[in-house]
Amino acid sequence: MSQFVREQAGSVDTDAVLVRKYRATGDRTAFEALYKKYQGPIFALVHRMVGNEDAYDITQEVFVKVLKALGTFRGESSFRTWIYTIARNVCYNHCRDLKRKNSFEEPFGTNSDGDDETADCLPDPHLSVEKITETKELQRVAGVVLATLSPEQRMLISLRDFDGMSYEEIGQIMDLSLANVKSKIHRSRMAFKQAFQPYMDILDDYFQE
Amino acid sequence: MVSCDDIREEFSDFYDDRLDTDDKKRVAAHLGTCPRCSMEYRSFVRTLEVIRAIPAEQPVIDMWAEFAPQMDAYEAEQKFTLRERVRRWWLQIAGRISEGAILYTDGLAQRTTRRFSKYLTHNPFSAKDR
Repeated sequence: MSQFVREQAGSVDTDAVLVRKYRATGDRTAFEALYKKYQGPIFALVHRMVGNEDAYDITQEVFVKVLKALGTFRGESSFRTWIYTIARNVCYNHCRDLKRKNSFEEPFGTNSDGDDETADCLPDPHLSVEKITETKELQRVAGVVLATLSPEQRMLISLRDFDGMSYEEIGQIMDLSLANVKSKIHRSRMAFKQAFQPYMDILDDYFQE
Repeated sequence: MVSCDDIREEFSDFYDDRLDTDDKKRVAAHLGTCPRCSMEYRSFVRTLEVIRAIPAEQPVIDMWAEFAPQMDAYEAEQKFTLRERVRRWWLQIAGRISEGAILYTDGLAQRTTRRFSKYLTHNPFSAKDR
């Protein structure tokens, strides 16, 4: 645990040093280091939020905003939570624009409020378990199931269960109180579990045999 | 006496070890005696374990290579003098206003065409129209 804390503290310091270096000297390598460190996690988050098609463009948009806003970063929170907050805002804006464009469609072609859409992600009865357990297929299924949740629920599940963030960090990123984070994470997980259940049943049957 | 619904509301906090000792004991005791909640909790945990085991999607292209030109453009813009930046800002606003004016005029023209189309297509010499 203490090693984890030290690593986290170390990474925060490194980020802050890189930010200061870029701001002071305009050294591109400092920003490049930050970019390369966070491009993977931010891309994964954006991919879960908006799907494959727009993930690249939205990720680049996040980094453009980071670059432009770097002057306003005061270091009150860690750079990690700051960049995730920007990513959250960009993803929410994208989801809102998409919803406005095609009144009823959400990313992946499903409805955000949509329990009614859950049927779309029921597993294909002809799908073999071997296929489901393939990494790519699991990623796709998780994406489809996530798409049935609201953007906020998608974001909470991503931050907590995919990225392993603490409740406190999530509170900062989502601008929510700790009590709100707790209850919303629980509701998001239950919604995900419900939508994911058909796949779990197939997997459980397989492993029990 | 706590209900099963109350206990199920605590699943996330119990799983994330965010309950105080008494609440943790209370939930654990209930899960030990209630087979339905116990099964539900196992299913809950299993779902989270599967989620956490799914590797994150990674970009398949070199994103930095695509980002670098955007950074070049931004840095070049930053090197402009304040006067130049203000000038470009005004030009952008003027461009937007022009776009708006063109769209508005086009809309007006279309509305006018719609309103007057019946007069334009009316043939005074046609027996049907008379």
